[in-house]
Amino acid sequence: MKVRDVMTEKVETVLYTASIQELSQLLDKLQVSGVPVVDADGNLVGVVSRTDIGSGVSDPPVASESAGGDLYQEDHPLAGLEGAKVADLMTEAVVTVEPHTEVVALIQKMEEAGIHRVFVTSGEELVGVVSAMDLVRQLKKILQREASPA
Amino acid sequence: MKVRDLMQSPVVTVAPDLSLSDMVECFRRQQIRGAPVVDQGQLVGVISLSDLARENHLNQQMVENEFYVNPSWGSIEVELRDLSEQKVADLMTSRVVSVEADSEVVEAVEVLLNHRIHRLIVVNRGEVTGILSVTDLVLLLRNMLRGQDSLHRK
Repeated sequence: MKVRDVMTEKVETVLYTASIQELSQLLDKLQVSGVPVVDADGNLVGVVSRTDIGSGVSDPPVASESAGGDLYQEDHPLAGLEGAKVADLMTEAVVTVEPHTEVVALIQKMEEAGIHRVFVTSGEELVGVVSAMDLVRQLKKILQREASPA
Repeated sequence: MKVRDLMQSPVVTVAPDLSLSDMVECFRRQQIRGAPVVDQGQLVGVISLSDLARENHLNQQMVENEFYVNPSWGSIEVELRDLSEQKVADLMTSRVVSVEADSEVVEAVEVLLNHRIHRLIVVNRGEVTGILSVTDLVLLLRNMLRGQDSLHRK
């Protein structure tokens, strides 16, 4: 089983030249904690997450138990970041695999790096992403097949 | 394969009236990021570093970042200043998804996928006995793929 058999090809990205405001809006819209950063050619150049911007950036209030959450947001979360670009905040070191990488090798990489999501590149170009959940879905198929042999 | 064959056990549990600062110390000592909350033998919730991050008690480093970089516990700084008065019960998630130790792994996988969560609390006759995480399942997949591979080569 190869990475290309399990990866998700559609990946939401942000341009490295995007502003922090644009990034923040994108993360809110997608309801994700982070996105890969690409250049104009679609090459993967880094990853950026909500925590890179600073904690508390327009996280939707989480239920009523967290009523105390506002206490810690004295400053506007984007204060001091006007004019900053995604490239200024992103992490450049990203663990990647190729579409032809064996899933066994992918899992090895995930375990060594302690991560749950790996981006797939062909050369430099970002072509997909594999999450631990994608792998659990594959596991489910295999277990179901074993439970009811044809 | 049963859940009990794959789960991590024993599991560290915390009491609901434990202070958050003591909980952080416990997590640091045990190098864990989350634990079931047990009150007089009953599973009443789960609490993790993500719950602290949500309340801004964690600095820049990680938790949300978990997917991209590997934060060893050493890099995690917890802002203890606001923790002292709060207890585990104040921040824990009360909706806990659990699975019986005797159930089949494939059933647990379905529960985990349906709820889109990363770990299940494993119970045996109402008592917390282990944790089954996405990581455990991914490593099972690896072992199964390796097994297939060696069969094909024979």
